[in-house]
Amino acid sequence: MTTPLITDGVLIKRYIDGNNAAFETLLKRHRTRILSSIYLLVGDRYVAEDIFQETFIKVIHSIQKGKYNHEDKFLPWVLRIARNMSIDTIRARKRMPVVVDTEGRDIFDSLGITVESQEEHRVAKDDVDILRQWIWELPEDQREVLILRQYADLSFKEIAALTDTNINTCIGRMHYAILNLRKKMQKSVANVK
Amino acid sequence: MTRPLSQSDLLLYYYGEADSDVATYIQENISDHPEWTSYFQDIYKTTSDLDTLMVSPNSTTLSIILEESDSKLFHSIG
Repeated sequence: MTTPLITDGVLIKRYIDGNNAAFETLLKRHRTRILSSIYLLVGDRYVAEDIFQETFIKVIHSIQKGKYNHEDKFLPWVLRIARNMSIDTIRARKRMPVVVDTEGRDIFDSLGITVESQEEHRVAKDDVDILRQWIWELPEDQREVLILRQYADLSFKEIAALTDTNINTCIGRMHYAILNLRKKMQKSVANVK
Repeated sequence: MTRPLSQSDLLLYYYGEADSDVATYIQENISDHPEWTSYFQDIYKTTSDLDTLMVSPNSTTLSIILEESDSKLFHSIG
């Protein structure tokens, strides 16, 4: 990873001093990494966009209130907020009320789908969908490390701090995430042949 | 390097996070260890397509955020 000419910490200081373009630069610098990470964590593009927006509004209010004290650790800080919101969203979706049909059966059961399986087992339309599905099929802890390392570009040390684990656990999870993805890819190639 | 190299060392090296002594050791000895090269190739083959899943926020979302960040409003509040 190359070091940007102007660090995030400097941009935040400039923003606090009234330079709105500095904030725009920060947003442009990190928007794709942050949204992609949220998207792959929650599995829904529209929900991800909402979380992204809420995250940045929270970020803006924190900076404006003088609560930013993370120097150049802007990205891990934003991702911590985004991750917490994503987890809340996933938990809320799992607590969705059961909708029953006229005979008292769970309507999703009768359709043969669950809230999770809507994302996990949907029909893959193309390679991008297949790849996304493979990521979703990974165990949650492996998926999270893969997303935070590969998309958010956090270091293993930063991921360990963000997820309240240690660096060796994160590396182990990443190793198995890659191994599992590789197996899925090889199986897919073998099936094509 | 006085200890044997682990898979964690190789993974950290691939992502540019290995300690400098480990990184130097790998660079100096990789030609004697085809299994390291094979491991790096596996990581590369597995992760190189993942960037296709990158997404960018839509313009409406960005406009809302930038409007909220407007420093004039910020300073008038402050």
